[in-house]
Amino acid sequence: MAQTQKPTNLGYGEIGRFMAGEAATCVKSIVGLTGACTAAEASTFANPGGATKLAANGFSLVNADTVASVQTTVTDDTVQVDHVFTASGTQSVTGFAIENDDDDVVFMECCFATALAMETSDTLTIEAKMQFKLGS
Amino acid sequence: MLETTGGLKIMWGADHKDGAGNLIVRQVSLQPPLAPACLKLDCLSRYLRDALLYALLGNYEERRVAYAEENRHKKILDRYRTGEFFPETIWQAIHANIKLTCPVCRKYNVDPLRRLSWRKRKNQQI
Repeated sequence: MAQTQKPTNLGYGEIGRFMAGEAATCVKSIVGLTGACTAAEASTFANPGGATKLAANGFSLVNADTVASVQTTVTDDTVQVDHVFTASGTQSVTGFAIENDDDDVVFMECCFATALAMETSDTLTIEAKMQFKLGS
Repeated sequence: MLETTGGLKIMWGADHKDGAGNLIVRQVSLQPPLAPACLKLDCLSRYLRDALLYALLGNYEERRVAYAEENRHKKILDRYRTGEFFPETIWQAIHANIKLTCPVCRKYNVDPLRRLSWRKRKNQQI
């Protein structure tokens, strides 16, 4: 399993609608993934990275601990999501996905280099960033 | 209409710790190489070099994380848990990959290629 990360096409659409003041919501939620995982722009909410969204053992869809804008290149050009998952049982985790407030669009998905074997009370601290890069 | 370049760049890090707060393994995102901006030989060769380094680093990360996860209850070199001393060149990445596949090298923190080259140099001097 190779390490991969991608923004999604549906995420681009959500950002476009949000900037146009149309029906859309901001970055808010995070969910753990399990199973074979390859991040792809074409991924959908139902099938992020070809993996399965977790709904148990502490990795289910929740509001992220913090979502804030930070500076990577210029002031506030990056959305940063920080979250700590705490395992409530044995669980294989192969990645995570960042979603909107409505929990119906994946903005980005990340697949780990290798599945993590989480045991009860293990923690997984995530720091995810989406930078709007400067063009020319 | 003029177009601009740019886009959405994704970066991430993930720390797996046990219940006592001990680090089991840390991962960070690897950025794939940028597509070549021209068809000149140096542009293409730079891209090929970056692509090869990216492949080697991906391979190293996969092995490193698997190794750290398999040995979560054992003492191993910190670099395999933290990901520090990350290879920055193709040569370093080749060294790191070979060292990671060699149990003796991992245990005693020995670089097999440097060892070979040292012996070779020593023989040459003799």
